[in-house]
Amino acid sequence: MRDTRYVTRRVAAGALALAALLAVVGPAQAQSRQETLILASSIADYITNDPSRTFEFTSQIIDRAAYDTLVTVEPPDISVVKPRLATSWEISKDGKTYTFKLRPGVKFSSGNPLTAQDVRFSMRRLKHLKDQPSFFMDPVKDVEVVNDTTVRIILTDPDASFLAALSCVPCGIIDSKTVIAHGGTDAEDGKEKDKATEWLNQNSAGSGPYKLVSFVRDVEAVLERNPSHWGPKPYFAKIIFKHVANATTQKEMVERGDADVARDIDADTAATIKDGPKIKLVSGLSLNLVYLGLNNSAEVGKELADKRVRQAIAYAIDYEGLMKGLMRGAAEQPPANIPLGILGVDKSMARKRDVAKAKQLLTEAGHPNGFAVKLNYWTRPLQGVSNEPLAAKVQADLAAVGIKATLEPKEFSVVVPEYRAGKVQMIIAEWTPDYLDPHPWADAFYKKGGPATKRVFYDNPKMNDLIANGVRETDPKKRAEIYREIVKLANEDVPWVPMIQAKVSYALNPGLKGFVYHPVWFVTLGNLSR
Amino acid sequence: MLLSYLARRLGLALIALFGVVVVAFLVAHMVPADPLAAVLSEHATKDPAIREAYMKRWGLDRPVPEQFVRYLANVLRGDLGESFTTRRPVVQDLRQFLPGTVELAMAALVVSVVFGVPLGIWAAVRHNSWVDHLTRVLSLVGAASPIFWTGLIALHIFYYRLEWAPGPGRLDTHLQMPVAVTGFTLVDSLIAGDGERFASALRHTILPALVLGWFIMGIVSRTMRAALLEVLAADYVRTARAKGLGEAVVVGGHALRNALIPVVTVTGLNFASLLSGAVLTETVFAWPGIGRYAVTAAVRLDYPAILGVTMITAIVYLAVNFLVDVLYGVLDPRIRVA
Amino acid sequence: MTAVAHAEEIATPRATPASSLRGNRAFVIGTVIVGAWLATALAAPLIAPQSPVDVDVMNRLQAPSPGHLFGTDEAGRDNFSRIVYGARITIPAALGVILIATLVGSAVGAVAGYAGGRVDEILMRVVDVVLAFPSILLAMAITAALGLGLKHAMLAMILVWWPEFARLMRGQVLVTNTNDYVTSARALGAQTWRIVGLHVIPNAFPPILVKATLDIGNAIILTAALSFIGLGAVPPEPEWGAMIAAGRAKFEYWWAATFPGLAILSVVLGFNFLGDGLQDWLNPRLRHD
Repeated sequence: MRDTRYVTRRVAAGALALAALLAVVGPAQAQSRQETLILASSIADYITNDPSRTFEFTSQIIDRAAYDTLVTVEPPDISVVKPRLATSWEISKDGKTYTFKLRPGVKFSSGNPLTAQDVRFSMRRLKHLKDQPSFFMDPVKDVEVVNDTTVRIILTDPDASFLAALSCVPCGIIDSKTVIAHGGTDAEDGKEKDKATEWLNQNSAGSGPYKLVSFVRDVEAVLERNPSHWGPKPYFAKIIFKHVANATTQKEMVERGDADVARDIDADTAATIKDGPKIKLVSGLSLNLVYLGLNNSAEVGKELADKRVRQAIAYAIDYEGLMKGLMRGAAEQPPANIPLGILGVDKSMARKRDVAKAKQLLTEAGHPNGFAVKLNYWTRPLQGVSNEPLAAKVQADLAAVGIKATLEPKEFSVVVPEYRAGKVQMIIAEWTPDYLDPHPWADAFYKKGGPATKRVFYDNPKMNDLIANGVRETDPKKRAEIYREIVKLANEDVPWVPMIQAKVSYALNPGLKGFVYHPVWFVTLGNLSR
Repeated sequence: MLLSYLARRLGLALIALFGVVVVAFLVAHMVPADPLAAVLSEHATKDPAIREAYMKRWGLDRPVPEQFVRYLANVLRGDLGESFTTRRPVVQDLRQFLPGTVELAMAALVVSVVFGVPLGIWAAVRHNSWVDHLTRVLSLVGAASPIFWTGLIALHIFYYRLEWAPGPGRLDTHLQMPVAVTGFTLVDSLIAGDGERFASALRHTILPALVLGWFIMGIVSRTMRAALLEVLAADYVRTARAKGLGEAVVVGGHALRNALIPVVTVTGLNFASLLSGAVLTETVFAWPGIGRYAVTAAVRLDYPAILGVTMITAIVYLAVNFLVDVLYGVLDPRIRVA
Repeated sequence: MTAVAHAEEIATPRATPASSLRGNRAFVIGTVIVGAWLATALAAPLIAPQSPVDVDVMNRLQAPSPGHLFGTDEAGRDNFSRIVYGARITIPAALGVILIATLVGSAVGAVAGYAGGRVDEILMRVVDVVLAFPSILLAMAITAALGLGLKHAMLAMILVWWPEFARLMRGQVLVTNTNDYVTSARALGAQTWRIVGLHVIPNAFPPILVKATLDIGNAIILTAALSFIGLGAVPPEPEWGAMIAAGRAKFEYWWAATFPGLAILSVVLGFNFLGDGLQDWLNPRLRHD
């Protein structure tokens, strides 16, 4: 009996202590929730948070908040390049020398001052790591430090897209002292010698409004306010990216107050959200492309090597069904593999479905009864588009003109190497923007040997010339005309069938202020408040 | 006698352990797919040099037997390699995620015993009554439920519709994991003296533990029922009854103690299936454990990670089995001969 | 209640197995459910009102209605027809896995039990090793290694499952071998195959049948689970686990994930009742009636 009473007393004492603890801790935590921004989103695309290596969506959002760039591009007008770390700049007459005046008094989160030396280090490290985004530095011949607040970038050839490219996340300025202390280097053998990535995956070394304090893959990323930030103090003390894979749960978390932003709301889930006191929907046209890749080679593409067959396929697709049915109207049809909203790209140039024309083209090409083709796609979702229903729809549309497509669903890691090696006949794939200039798209999809072009063996000398002219031309009007020509020729040659440019949707806590969708880095986190 | 029995058991466990390493390694090398594509993004590898660097870094360019010897040596050193995707040592990942899984499994075990044992007793005592049938149906439905679906439905109803349960995840979203001392969130938040975090962790444990526990509860209640029926038919119980002892004393005092032994054994041995169930429960409840880690690893073809998880669970299983064997050997001398 | 049950027990004749099975409620319920599902699988084209794969993008995610009893999925396909056709994927897959695992496992177990000595030792060590892995994890790893798809998932499941039957069979062989009639038969000079055919197999068959029946249910769940994770069958194939995975991301349209789950639950429940009933029949002391 004595034992029991003793235990009871112990339990009671423990419970009391716990209750007291709850009472003390409760209000403080409520305060912290107020100043904590929680984003429910899939962060499964993570590879690295090192800004000079990253190319993935989530890490770009994180790094954008932690690192400042020389210049920036902000909605609504994403074609205007604005100052950020650079307060002003001059471009030489020959278009090869860029001189930037740096904002004085800027400090990194470590407290180190930001100087022209850090700009030089960042650019050289980006180039010499020879990782995914290193191509941003391809046009750069040299970076010179003029004085602490002046830096000069010298290009090999004039490049009309270079200034816009400097707004990219990988062009963020990193704290050279801190990065060197963690094994980083900007030397030419940086690819082998640089060891700072491991540290940069968990921390950040920038001058942005936030700093990365922890990252656990597939669980969460945590940012905290950077006390040394030069700009206005951001409202939220802490930002947490919670990994939540599916749209419904994300939406439910916003409605229950467990999250402030749901990032991966597809059109179907968006349709179930009504703006109210608990939740609000924000949408914007993305620059993400979902397209059909057609192999132009006789060996792999077979029937698709004939331009008329490719045109027939483009005419066979029921674009209206895709936009209105599959996407519930939350999408546009891009006219080429360069999205709407980019210089020289015009909605009116998009193709319309024409089954009769498709059949006629097939007959001309010698396939009056159609032919068989393999349609590849990967089994993880595309940006905002469920790929399996899309593949089934394309299959049905092709069947309507006599083309028998066999569906080939494959694991992402299986089909992508095949695609990169130019071994797939037909594939549904996607592309997200690098920076806001038509050149990266033209270069990737239409120039001979371009990163995507070489996968389908497309080569038209006339197109190559147009693209070379496009990047050299500095007069915006003349440039736009060149890209219009490119789109026209792309529609004639059809190495790709552009299908969907999705309108992306986000569900927000209605009390959140300052949310403006950004097509490259989703939202500028420092602008948000309650 | 006992020592040689134990030595033999230990030998067998070690052989099995070696077999586990061999199997895990073989599985990872049946691979036709390209693991690098899972690591490098769609945009990546414009440069074949990047691919080569990865191959070198992960030792994928060496002949298979050499890879195995290297692997075995590393395993013995406690080095399970580095995950392709997290770019961290697998051991570090496992250390982070294993406690979460054990926590969930333990909680589910508690649920299954707390509900399963009384139900089993009730069913045995009221043999062939409606209670017995209801228990049976409950158990069968629990065992027949695809846990990834039950979890989904439960989460939607109790979190979203009724607002009774907290959402997915280990803690409320604005709370950070406590400083890892033991790795068990419930324990660590107590160590940190953080009441709110402890309460949150506890609330987040309930729904997944119920879903997973229900799945196992059937086994517990059926074993309890069978064992108790067996014991109730035994001679000494008849004697007790004949002596005129009340039914409560007979069941509670005499029969139950003996019937609980097989229940404990079966429950212990079902820890493996509990771990299997935890894999799917974690996926649905966004629970940071090795199950969820394994699922992402499998889908991404992250072989070091899959190998690590399968191996660690197999080792846990072997260790539990060995302990059970040892206990039996100590408790029941007859077994030593076999 | 107890009195009535007791009276029934006395009244029901137990002379022949058939009559005892007929009075076995679990067995009857199980037979009815499993029979209904097998009939559905066989007669799928007659039962399903529509094609399980025809896309209709203008009628996506429609709620259940007389036209679409279980609504439509995210490509506008008829959910009811997909579930009916799904019976042709998951059930045969599970049956196949268990059948092969039973045959392979029993053969290995019988060899081990009979041969004894070093052969037994080696085979049982292999069994130990495989059984040390939680089935779903090993199946996941093997499927990931072999590549995506239902066939690979089935192969993985067979590789994971046979040892359980091997262990059971070996145990049965050892038990039967020590039986007096087997010992005397052997003493009288009966050949091994005769002993196996006349004594071992008939003795081992009932427990193996019970385990196999109960395991079909588990195999259905595992098949669906692997597809749910993304390692087994993939849409547009109307596999139930894959349908749940597709419906999960859009749970606001509850019918997409709910009905395939109910299909799994009911068919597995059927096999569990069946196995349970068989077990009761074989082990009368624990009987529910």
